[in-house]
Amino acid sequence: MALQKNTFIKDKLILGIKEYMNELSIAALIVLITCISPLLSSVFLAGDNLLNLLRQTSYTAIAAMGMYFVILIGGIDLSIGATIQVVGMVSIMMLTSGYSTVTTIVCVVLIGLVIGLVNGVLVTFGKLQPFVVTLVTKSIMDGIVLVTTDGASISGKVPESFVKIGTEYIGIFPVPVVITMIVFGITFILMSRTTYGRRLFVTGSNKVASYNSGTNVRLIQISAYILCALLATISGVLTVARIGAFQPSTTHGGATGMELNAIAAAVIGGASLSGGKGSVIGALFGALLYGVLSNLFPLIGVNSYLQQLIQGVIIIVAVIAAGRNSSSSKIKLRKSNGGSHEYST
Amino acid sequence: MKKFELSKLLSIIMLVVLILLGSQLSDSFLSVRNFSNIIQYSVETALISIGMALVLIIGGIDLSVGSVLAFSTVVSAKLALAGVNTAVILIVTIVIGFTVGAINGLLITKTKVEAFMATLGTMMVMRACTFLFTGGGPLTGSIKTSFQQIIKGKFLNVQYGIFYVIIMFVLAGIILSRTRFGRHVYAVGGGEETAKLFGVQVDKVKIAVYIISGILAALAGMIIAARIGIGEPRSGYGYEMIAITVCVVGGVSMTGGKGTVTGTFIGLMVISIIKNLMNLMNIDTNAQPIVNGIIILIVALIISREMLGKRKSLVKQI
Amino acid sequence: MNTVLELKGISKIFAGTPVLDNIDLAFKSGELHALVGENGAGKSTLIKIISGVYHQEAGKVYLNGKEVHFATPNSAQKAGISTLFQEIQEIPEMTVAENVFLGREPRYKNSPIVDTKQLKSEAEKLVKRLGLNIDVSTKMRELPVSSRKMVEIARAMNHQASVVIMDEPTANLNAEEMAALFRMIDELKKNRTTIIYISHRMNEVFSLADRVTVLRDGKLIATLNNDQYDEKSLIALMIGRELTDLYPEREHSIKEVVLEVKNLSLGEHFKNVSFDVHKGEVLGLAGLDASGANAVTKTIFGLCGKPEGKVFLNGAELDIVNPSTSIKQGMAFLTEDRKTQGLFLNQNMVNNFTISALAKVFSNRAFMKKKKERLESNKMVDKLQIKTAGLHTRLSELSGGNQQKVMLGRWMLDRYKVLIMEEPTRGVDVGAKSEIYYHINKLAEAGLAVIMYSTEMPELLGMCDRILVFSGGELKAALSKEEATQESIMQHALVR
Repeated sequence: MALQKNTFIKDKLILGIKEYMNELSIAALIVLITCISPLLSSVFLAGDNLLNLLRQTSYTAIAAMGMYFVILIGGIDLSIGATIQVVGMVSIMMLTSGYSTVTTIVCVVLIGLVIGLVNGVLVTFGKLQPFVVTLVTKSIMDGIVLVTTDGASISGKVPESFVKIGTEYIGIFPVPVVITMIVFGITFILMSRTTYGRRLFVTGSNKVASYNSGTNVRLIQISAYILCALLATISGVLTVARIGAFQPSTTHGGATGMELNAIAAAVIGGASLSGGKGSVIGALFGALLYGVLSNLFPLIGVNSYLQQLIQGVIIIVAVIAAGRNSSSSKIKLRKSNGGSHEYST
Repeated sequence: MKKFELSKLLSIIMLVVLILLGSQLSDSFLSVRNFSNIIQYSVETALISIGMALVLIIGGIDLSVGSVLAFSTVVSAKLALAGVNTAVILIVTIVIGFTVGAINGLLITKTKVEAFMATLGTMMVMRACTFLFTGGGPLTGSIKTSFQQIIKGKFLNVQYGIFYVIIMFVLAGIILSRTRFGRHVYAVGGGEETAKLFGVQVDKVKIAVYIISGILAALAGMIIAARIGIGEPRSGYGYEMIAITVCVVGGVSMTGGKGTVTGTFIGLMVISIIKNLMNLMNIDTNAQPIVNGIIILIVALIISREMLGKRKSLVKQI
Repeated sequence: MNTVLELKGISKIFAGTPVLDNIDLAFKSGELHALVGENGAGKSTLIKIISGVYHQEAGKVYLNGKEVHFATPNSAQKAGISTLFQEIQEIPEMTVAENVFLGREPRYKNSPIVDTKQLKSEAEKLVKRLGLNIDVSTKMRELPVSSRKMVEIARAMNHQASVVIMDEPTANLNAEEMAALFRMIDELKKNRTTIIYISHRMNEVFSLADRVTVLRDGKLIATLNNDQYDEKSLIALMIGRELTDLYPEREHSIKEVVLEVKNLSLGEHFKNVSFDVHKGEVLGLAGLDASGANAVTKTIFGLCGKPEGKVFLNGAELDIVNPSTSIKQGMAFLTEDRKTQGLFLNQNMVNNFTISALAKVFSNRAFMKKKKERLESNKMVDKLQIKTAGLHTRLSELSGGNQQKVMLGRWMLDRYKVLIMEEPTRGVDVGAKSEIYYHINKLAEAGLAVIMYSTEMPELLGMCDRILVFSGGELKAALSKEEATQESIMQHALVR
């Protein structure tokens, strides 16, 4: 019995290390950057700056965790930047016309739910590619925001209670950071402890096999898009609550670009567009790495455009690295499979 | 015997309906002047859509076209402002497009990165390069008229843009339907493994297609610089979406292997006429993406429905 | 006759399992050389090595006395080896003519422009020669399967090859097309072309082959001239062992009816199928392609939507909606292609084992019982003797046999009433086969009703208490263990 317990622990350990290899290496990278940061900038490690960094990161981190669900099942959601815009716009419009904070939040959460549902249903029942669907919903929402605001910002009297969500502290931590941790906690438990998480994970790995093993694949897929849109909604609320006003992104069809940051964070964290890979921690760490770099670069005099360039390169490198890890086994498989047995269900 | 396929006629039906609608809504719509304007202002979209059609036919995607366009716009504007010869600008533009296209192609074939991620990466990088190049704001100054003439000029009282569109589509048509390369483009999209088995050099075809897409996007950028006379780094946002819309409306399959140049041309006309009508009727240009979005969605849904009906499989679709 | 193609010491290993072991073989000019053997004997692998799809781990290939290495199928073609693969290789969206000339399109002089006229006329000529009545400008996807296969044959003929390899060329053909194919084969032989021919149909081998090579478990057993064998001796060489070695005895205690299928019909796939399955019974379903046998298993499990007719499980009507509802009602299903339909290859063993029993066994409300999961998975590894480095191993790292055992284990973690299996041992080595059979027997003995669809005749004969034979969407015969032989099954399977 004791022996068996021992092998259990060993197995669990190996399982842990093997499955979280990617996450561990990103964590190591973040620690490394933090350690060498004093050499580059004296400001970086200051308490204020670190809290600011965490706050900045929290918007991306929440969106990235949402994006993780969609990428996990082999999809993509390009509409979250636009979702964040719509949510921000509606929040400020409602609040300035006298609705209470609670009513407003309930309303925008419902909007987020509907956006996710539309994306999910179009992908699942319309049999359309996820990126087409979400590119369409993105451009429709972008259009709606531009038509409504005509590119001008919306501001006015916003209830104190709403602004507090973006600006208050709980203990020493800004509210958005605390909310990020709560979201992380919930999604982590969802993925590691519930049957829903397991079904999501295996569905991403092989949709047909998951269906054949009794999973309601359609429901799982739609739910992933809903989760993604809901988390984008939270991110959107936190973003406008910080400023108390809404400023539409003026670039035509540019939205906030949050979808790109979120995809980048999830992919850096080990998610793969082919599905069934990555973890919530990975998405969180990916966002953190992204946040650390975005914070550190201006401090050491890297301008924001160069920063964008570096981030683009990081994405490409991350994807190539992820491909290297998995391709060796994949190639072997295809060869031994012989012919091309495509099976469509 | 042949079953009626709505998806095949969809673009033509849309075109006819739009022309009828336009003639009812506006007196100035059905005029030679208006139509030559429509085509004159669709040059950039035409170039990018042809490239995107090729990329979609091989089963890929190129999200970087908008950024490539922006980068080549600012570079050609800078060169034009410095008084550089137009031929040199053309060469530089082609080199830019070639380079980015080659990088996309190599990333996709050699490092096996998904086309979506690879071109997303180059999209970000090229946009950043564009802003780095201008320092943020647009490049302004007095641009030589000789450079502006490449789009504003007329030959036999016909605007150059119309010639460009005709030449590009005819050339693309010949390449795609008549050359060996064209057949291989279809073969790669229609069945990569089979194509490989029968000696099609799949990787080379793919790289070539991304290079063509890059060059066409860069040329579109040069034309924008000539048209607006400044180097605007914010050019080209959302162009990938417009090009995809044109292709999908024109019957190019998002899953590869299917699509024609004629279809792409009709798709281009549909999208351009919609834009034209919205202008004529003073509809907020901001609403354009909404209309485009709805159109692409409807068309894609109709096509996917028909595909499902056609495929007779024993096992039910998930 | 001089030797055209020679193989010396060819070996090939997949995922640690040797599939070809030191094969020496010479093919003579102008002969039709048949390769025969059971499924998994290595025939397809061998021809894929010759045609450049696979690369051997050891050994050499000589063409006309010169050693050759074919990096790709294309280079093999250029050297004069043309292959007709078992799976149809085509670009469905392209026309017949374009498919035939793919990769070798005729051009105007040296320009890149394709000579479409020549392309069309050449293709037409070729199609005529095969006696086909096809418009070469139709798209491949618009043709029926048999014509598509004939187009492929046309393409293989078109290479002016010195060696033509045919892997099951007649599988999808009707009688007329078969006759056309055999005429082509005669023509090729007259032109001194060597034909390497793989077929399961013994009568073809007898009437066509000049020589026959028997492969078994990756080894070359014998090469015989056509006067040196008869059907019996050839089959004996192919099987090479007593059936009882492979198929362990089962305690027969067939009891009450568990599953009752009544007048089941599904569109064009099958109609009016009725049968029942008893507790403790292993029921075999046999039939050629598109006979309906395979469609019946999929339909009962809920993969094909709602059929007409009724199915009763323990007297209550089975609600056929989708796999999820079927599993809830006590049905289990081992898919035919484990890699695309059954397993999560990039995931660990636990995730692969427990998925079907998540709701009932491994969770408390929505939460996972992770400890129980690992405990039960570990037990299953021991029980099925799966060779693995531990539960963290990804499925892609296991051999085919062990992967198959994981699939089987998935349905042993909960109690089910009926287990439907499709090709339970496809691509599995002999050792693992026997173990899988042992466990199937155990499951039957424990009271499960087992339905087994298989294309491997010996497997059906060795395992099943009764065998239902399908043809043309109809149930043609129910053979008892005593009545069932390869001949009696084929006899019913070929009835139209």
